[in-house]
Amino acid sequence: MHDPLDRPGQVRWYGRQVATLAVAAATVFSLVLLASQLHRALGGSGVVVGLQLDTVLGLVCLCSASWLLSLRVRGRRTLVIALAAIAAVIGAAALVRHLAGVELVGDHSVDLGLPGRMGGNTALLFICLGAGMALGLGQSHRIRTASDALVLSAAAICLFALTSRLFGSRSQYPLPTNDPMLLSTAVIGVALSAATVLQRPERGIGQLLGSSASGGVLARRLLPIVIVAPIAITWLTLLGVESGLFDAAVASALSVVAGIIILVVVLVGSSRAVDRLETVRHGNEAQIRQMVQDISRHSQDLHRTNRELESFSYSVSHDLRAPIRHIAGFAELLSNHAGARLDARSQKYLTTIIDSAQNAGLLIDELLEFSRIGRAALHGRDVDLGEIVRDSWNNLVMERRGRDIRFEVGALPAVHAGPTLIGVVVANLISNAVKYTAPRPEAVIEITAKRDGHDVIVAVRDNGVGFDMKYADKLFGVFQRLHGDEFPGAGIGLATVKRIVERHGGRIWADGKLDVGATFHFTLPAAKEQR
Amino acid sequence: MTTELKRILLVEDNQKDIDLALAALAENELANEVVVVRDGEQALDYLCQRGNFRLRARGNPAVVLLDLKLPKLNGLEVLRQIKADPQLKMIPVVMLTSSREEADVATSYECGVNAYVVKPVTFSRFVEALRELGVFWAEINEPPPGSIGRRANRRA
Repeated sequence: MHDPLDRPGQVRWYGRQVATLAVAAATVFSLVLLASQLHRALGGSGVVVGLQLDTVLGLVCLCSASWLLSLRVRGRRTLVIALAAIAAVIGAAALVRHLAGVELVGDHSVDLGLPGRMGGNTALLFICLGAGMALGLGQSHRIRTASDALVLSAAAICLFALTSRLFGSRSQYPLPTNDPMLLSTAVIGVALSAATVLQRPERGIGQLLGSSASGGVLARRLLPIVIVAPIAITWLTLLGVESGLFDAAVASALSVVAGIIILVVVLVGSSRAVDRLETVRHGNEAQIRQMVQDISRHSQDLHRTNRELESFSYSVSHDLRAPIRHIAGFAELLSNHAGARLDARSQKYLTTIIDSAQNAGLLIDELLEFSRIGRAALHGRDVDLGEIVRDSWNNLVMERRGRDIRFEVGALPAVHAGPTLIGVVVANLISNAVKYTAPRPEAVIEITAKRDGHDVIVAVRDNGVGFDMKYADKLFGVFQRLHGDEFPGAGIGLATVKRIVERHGGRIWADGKLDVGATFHFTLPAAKEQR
Repeated sequence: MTTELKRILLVEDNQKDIDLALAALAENELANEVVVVRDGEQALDYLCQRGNFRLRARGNPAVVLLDLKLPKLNGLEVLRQIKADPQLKMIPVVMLTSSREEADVATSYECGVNAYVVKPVTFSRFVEALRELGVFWAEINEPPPGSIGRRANRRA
């Protein structure tokens, strides 16, 4: 079955049905032909079906080609072209004979009772349909347009035969196109033409009919009217003439007026549809323009906010550090100057002032670092994680003084990252692990890594004081701390770490248990060489 | 206004910072080696011996300690003018500032600064920094010709 939303598939499905219909009609007709021949051979009399051998052959070729087209078989292309070409050649040969007036013996082989020649119009039909089918499989646009034109001509020839039969024409004109064509041939010809068009929904008329755009809708609605209406009108007026209601002139006038009315109705309908579409499109365009304006305004706002933030962090770095430096500096000067004369309590107050100012200074530095990382460009390359871990560990020599720490590093793969930024991540996590294992007589810090697709997952595990998992989401916020003064820190380190990891497209998360330990995991893209 | 030529020219507008710097220099026995000016214009006047400093002794200081944020002409503009002047461009200039901003550091080096020092928050570190600066630029470093260096000073 076909997917209702897949329009080309739907059109192709219709094409297959029509082709099947044509083949069925041809089969039925062949059987009738056979039966009538048999009847005559047995000495009977009655209706004689006059069909020539070459016509039969041509129809068989065309039907087989159309049938093959509807099958999705490999190598059908060549076979279809060959069959269609044979039909065209049969038609061409018949036409030449027809024009030259030659009669062959074989012409009478199927039907001995009637003038044994394929009609000129049947010959033209075979040429057009055969050539059209063969060319329809061509690649170039021009060839396919020619194929459409040929198939339409074939359909027109058949329609002409059908309508003139319908209107009761018995006349014989010298024109080859007006030879009587058998009703069966005409019906099969129309069906084959339709099937040929419908079986290539990806281009030409088939594409238009299958199009889900407004043009396709219009074409599908108008096609039946355009074909049926003129035939019906003329047929009715002719009936009127035959039954003596009016004469031929009135009949012509009637059919002309009816034709005009139908064309005007179609014209008004389709114009209105196009108009409506245009209005909708204009509305959409205005909407899109408005959206683009909104977006550009938002982006300007963002730019401005960004600039303000930058100038803010600049004044923080310059204007806020100065007074803090002055507090710390003068407190220290005072302590140096009056130290000996101050009692212990005053000394302690002074030390507190100095420490607080110092902390404020560190806080500002860390905040600036945090905002700098957000703005810094990322220059990623393949870096050795093991080397970064070793460097970070060696840099922590001060913090590790007097501690007993077992530092275990597993096999660490190379990652693709900004080396300085990843240094900040690793240094922060190891320094945290060192800091929070301080109460342990024997601290254990373990760093491992494993591959996960294109990523590397790094884990930093410690047996420190850990944390309660219900606060896990607070770990990575700016100024969020889960511990009090017993562990120093501003609460920016992990926020910076998270920011860096996310800038590399990675994730960071933590597992922990109070008084047991914590594990921080983060992902980074694996080194390009190892992907 | 001073007419003296000393080894260090400190360009600083904030009185508290001047006090701290002088205290730090005093701790390092360099207090007598410094001339203080309060803005960028004065700094250039001093170096070019014009305006108030018309009458100062000839020669260049061994080092200029320059703040970034200054009234009238800021530190970067002073630096640019020093480095554009054939008479002055050889004087070593050290930025001594609160700003850690990458852009400030980069622009200073682009303009030819000889060193960039961020003022430490604590006084003890500040003293240390100024001692190292003073000792290096005024004592260890061989200043360009025409500057008042260690030996020239001794002679005077």
